[in-house]
Amino acid sequence: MDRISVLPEAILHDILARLPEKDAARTSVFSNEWRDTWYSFPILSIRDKIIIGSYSPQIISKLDILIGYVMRRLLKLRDQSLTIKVFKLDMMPEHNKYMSHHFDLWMNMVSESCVEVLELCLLYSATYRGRPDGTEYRYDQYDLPLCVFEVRSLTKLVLKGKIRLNQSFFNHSIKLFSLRTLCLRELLLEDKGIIEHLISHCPLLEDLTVYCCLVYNRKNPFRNKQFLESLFLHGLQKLKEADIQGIQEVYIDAPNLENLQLCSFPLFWISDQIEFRQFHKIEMFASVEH
Amino acid sequence: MGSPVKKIMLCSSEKEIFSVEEQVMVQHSVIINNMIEDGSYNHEESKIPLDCVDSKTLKKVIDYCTHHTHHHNDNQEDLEAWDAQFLNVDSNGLYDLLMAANYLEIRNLLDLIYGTIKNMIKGKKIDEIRRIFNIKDHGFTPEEEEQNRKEYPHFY
Repeated sequence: MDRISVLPEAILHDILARLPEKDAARTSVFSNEWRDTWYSFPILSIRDKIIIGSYSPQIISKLDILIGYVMRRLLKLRDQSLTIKVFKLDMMPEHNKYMSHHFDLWMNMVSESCVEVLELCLLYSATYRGRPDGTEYRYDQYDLPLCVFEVRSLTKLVLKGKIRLNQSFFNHSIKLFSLRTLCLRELLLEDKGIIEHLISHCPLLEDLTVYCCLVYNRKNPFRNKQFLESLFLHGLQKLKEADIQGIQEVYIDAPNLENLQLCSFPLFWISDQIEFRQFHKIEMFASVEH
Repeated sequence: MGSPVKKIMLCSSEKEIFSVEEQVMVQHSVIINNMIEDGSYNHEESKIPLDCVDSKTLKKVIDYCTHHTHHHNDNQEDLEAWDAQFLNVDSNGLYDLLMAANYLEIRNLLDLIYGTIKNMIKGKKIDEIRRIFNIKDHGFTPEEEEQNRKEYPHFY
């Protein structure tokens, strides 16, 4: 008989955690026992490429398979009163509109489950070269539900890509008392003070990354979005690492800072094959004070 | 002549006694290290009972710890070749070793076994994996199996 699959669950979860993500997901179709183990595994990494394979004309039916899969995993954990330790969602943003109410539901369930690590990545991948016919994909920004900011158990929060935070953020209580790592990249903000407000409510923050967030004006939505121009951070006693790109003026008061990377234009754009000379007119200015 | 090498006694599930250099086990097993450190092991009388480890597996575990204690300066290639030979066992043998390594908390042996299981899965077709793991009955109804193949064709 197959004795590996009847190993104690803790050992099997150890094995799953060390497998490459695709192989870990594949264990769910090995056998009944392996499937049960997979559905009690508290680390959920949902990548469209792994769950549904490649994008194709039948994308909507494939998305429905993904939606069913995520719900099954979340519900099985909830039925067994198991917490979700890690929830990572990594998808192309072009179906944000179709997916948004499912995302909302997942965010709610994950927030109620004392999650420790939450990563939401709605970016086009670095290798993405657009549609074959050269037209651009349309995408909608995903409005992140604010319940995420109430999760006291959260130690790491990563938000990347086509995600929007609106004005109502200021009326909401932030309870990220355990947060150590925060990464915000290419978000869309309705107010330029949102990031400062968020960071000021994370007393244990040790590692901060902010890349190229955009600010828009709801009263005048036709005005172009602009890069966040300044970031003032005060009293970050625990902060050790900071990496801030694409913000012109930065002020950080962090007595225990060990590593600081600062660049007023986004370094990663260069690696995305945009030619450097496009930036030569941008005035480089960054201020660091202690 | 130096002082005689300190030995400890390990007792398998078949009550067979194995005498091993203390240093060898202390270096590798967190559990045995703790027993020696907190004084709960008495060198005059104690035997460490390992009721869930059979003699065959215990002998292999001791082999592993002994080799890695005395040969840790060997070059990496030789050690890896020795490890590969050591883990050339069927899935039952792997299971026994994994349980023993887990019970005794031998971290580097656990890592080695996890790596082996990883390679048993990586890049292989599902049917092949089922054969390697000795999964004779996957327990899915024909409908479930068909649905899996339909929903996740790229897994197979």
